[in-house]
Amino acid sequence: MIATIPAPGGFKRIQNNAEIYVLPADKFKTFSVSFHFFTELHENTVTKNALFPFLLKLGSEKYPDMLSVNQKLQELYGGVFDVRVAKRGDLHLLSFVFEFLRPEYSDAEQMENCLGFMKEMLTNPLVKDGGFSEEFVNREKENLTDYINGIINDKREYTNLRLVEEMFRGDSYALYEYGKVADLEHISAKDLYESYREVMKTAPLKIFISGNLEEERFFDTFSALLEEERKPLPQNAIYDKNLSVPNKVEENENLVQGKFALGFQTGIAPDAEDYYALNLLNSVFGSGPHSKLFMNVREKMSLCYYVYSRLNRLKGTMQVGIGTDKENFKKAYDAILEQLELCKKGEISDEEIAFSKKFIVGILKQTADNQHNLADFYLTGILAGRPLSPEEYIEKIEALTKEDLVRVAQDITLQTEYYLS
Amino acid sequence: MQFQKKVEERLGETLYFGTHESGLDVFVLPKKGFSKKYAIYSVKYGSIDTSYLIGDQEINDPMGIAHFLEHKLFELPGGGNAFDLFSKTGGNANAFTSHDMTGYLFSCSEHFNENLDVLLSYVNEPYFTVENVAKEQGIIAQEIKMYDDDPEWRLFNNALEALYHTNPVRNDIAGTVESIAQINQDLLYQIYNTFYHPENMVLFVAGDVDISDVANLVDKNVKKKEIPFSVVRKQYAEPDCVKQKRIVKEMSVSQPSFILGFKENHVGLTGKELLRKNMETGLILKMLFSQSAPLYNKLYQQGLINDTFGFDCLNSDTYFATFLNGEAKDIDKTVEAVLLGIESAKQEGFRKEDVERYKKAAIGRQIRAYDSIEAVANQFSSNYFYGIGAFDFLEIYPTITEEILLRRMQEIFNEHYAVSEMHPVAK
Repeated sequence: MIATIPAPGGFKRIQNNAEIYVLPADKFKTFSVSFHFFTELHENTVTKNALFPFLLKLGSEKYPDMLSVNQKLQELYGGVFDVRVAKRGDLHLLSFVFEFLRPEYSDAEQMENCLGFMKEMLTNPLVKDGGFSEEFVNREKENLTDYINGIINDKREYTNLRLVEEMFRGDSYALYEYGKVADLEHISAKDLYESYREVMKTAPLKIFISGNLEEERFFDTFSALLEEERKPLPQNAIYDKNLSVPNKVEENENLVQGKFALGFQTGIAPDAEDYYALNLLNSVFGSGPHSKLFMNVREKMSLCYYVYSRLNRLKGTMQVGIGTDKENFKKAYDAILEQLELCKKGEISDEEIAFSKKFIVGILKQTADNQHNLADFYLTGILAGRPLSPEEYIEKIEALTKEDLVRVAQDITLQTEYYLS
Repeated sequence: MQFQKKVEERLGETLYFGTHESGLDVFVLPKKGFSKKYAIYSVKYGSIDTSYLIGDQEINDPMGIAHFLEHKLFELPGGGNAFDLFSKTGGNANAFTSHDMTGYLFSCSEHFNENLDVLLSYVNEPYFTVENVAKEQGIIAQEIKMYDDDPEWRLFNNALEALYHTNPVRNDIAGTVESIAQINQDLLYQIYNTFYHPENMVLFVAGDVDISDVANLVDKNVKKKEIPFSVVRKQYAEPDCVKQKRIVKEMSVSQPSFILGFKENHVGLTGKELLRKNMETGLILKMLFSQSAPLYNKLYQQGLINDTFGFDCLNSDTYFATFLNGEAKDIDKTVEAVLLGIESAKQEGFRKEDVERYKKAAIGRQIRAYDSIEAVANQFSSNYFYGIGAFDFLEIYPTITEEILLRRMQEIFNEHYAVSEMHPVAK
């Protein structure tokens, strides 16, 4: 079954649970295609699924090593082929992202050459004896081990990751998107090839095309991939209100500056109408230089260089992060919760609301200036069950009042604290 | 003010530029179809500019003062800060200080003129007090401590400390908690009046904007100074050799990492000559150490480097250093293999067809950069202060040959190198 229907920003074509979103745009020098495969985030598959996508970057039948893949990209005028793995709610998202110069800035065969390259890298991997190349697998296992062990090197990001682990203990969302080092020794080149085939043939797939790619040629090139019978996106796999027992964790790494993160439950589902109010409230509270956290904890109290709050829409949570001297932990903690309390009491000025609206609207308006940001924006909206265009989203934000903000603030509750010093 | 127009067919871009009566150069890159409008107002004054001559008098300022001034310029006369004004006009504002420049910028989608007015007015109206300086000392101390916990930043600064004896590029951009304690409001006014001179600044605007509005706002906010810009930056007697061959530190990290830094002593180039040197260096680094390079692939297959391996270059008219960096289980072994690889590349030279392929990809990446308004604007601003034009790269690429690259490779990879190492804390 193939259906083509209008969609925000362009149109979409639906084919056996593969959805292709076409976002025409004339202003870019490049065109971009991203393939997003969704798998369940599960401890039995997370490491395999995090590993195999990177093998595709190392070589294919036609370009059998990293050297020839990258030389081909150079011949395509410095094209880009990126692999990303991420968590989106309880889904494990495996993405293959391509970007190439348009024919006007390269040559007349560019479109055909690039389509051929994308198809080769995605659908014709280097296979030996029913498995990926052992050499590639061993190399990528080492890389992944170094990468996972290296999380500790970025203390700010490490603090955030540890909070999520503690906050979702027992839930699949506590898994790290790159998997576990301990799994690697039990994973064979054959297992990985099986995972690859399974995902390519059955995983729900969403594709974003932008910047004037001739879409009919794209459909022809990828007809085999698009004709597979895919599973639908798992239902209720996104939002889960049940978190672990409230918890406070303190760890020591001999840091010069202490860091901590606070995890809050918001009680607001990703598709709830109140999500937009939560989005605005988050900006009033802690996102942007006009926010209560920035104005008070940084500017008035001089406690930190960075402090912010951010939402995880698909999990219904809010996270605050700050770096400050360890002897000021209590002072900073009190100041952060005091600002949240003010939001709950309705001590929010008209100016704060106006500034926050402008801040969010400004970002939304600029979303379409970057092909990857736009694809990402739509993807989140689709997963949340509210596939709005940036313009529709802006209308929702503009219509909000103080009462909406105070209402959504009431259910925000502190759930987990993580301190690193 | 009058604008001239330069059309670059190959890029599909047009650039307007003009010099305001104050001496400020103004550039506008129209980007039809983009919602985002961006402006960056920069000054050729960075962390390295701590010693200079005014007349016969030599001035020595505390380390980190350029960065401190950047923070403090956001204060408005009578209280409040520029962020409040940008919040009203919907601008997303920021600023940064590097070794050799400071940039004040915003992006917005609506009310561009109001936002540009805010940018030009706050940068032109300093307001420093005892209280607001004291408050910032707390905030910046936290910023410095944040970088103290960042192994990559530490590794990089240690490499600069090892390479240079006297050049102030070896000092941390933000200074130290002790050095910023010496800063007061009088000192800030003094350096502001010295360096924030229209002749030492540039405004770059990109987006779908009206150039006559830009000109009017510059007229309104930027005034001609009575005294021409006349700072003489101190010349440092920098020995050819490196200060330290090796610098080893420990932090809480997962495995050892290193930077192998090369220092060049032939500096002083500006304009197209400097751009040429930068571009040749970029090509050579890609031909040896990118994923499309045989040497990189060999080192990778031998397990001597991993995905974190990369390269970087820090260049100006007073310093030029090239860095190779990454994680390594055995740093000595990796460094030795890298140096051997470089030596054999010097023997073998480059093949014409490879050079042409790298050039093709490099031009493609430069064209692609025009999809990102801020990337183009920031790159342009830092180049401007060295007399490099936005489209100059297009005329240089065709003149780069394999012979030129071979010669340049000998200059980059000379005997003046140092290794900065970071090891996990022994538990």
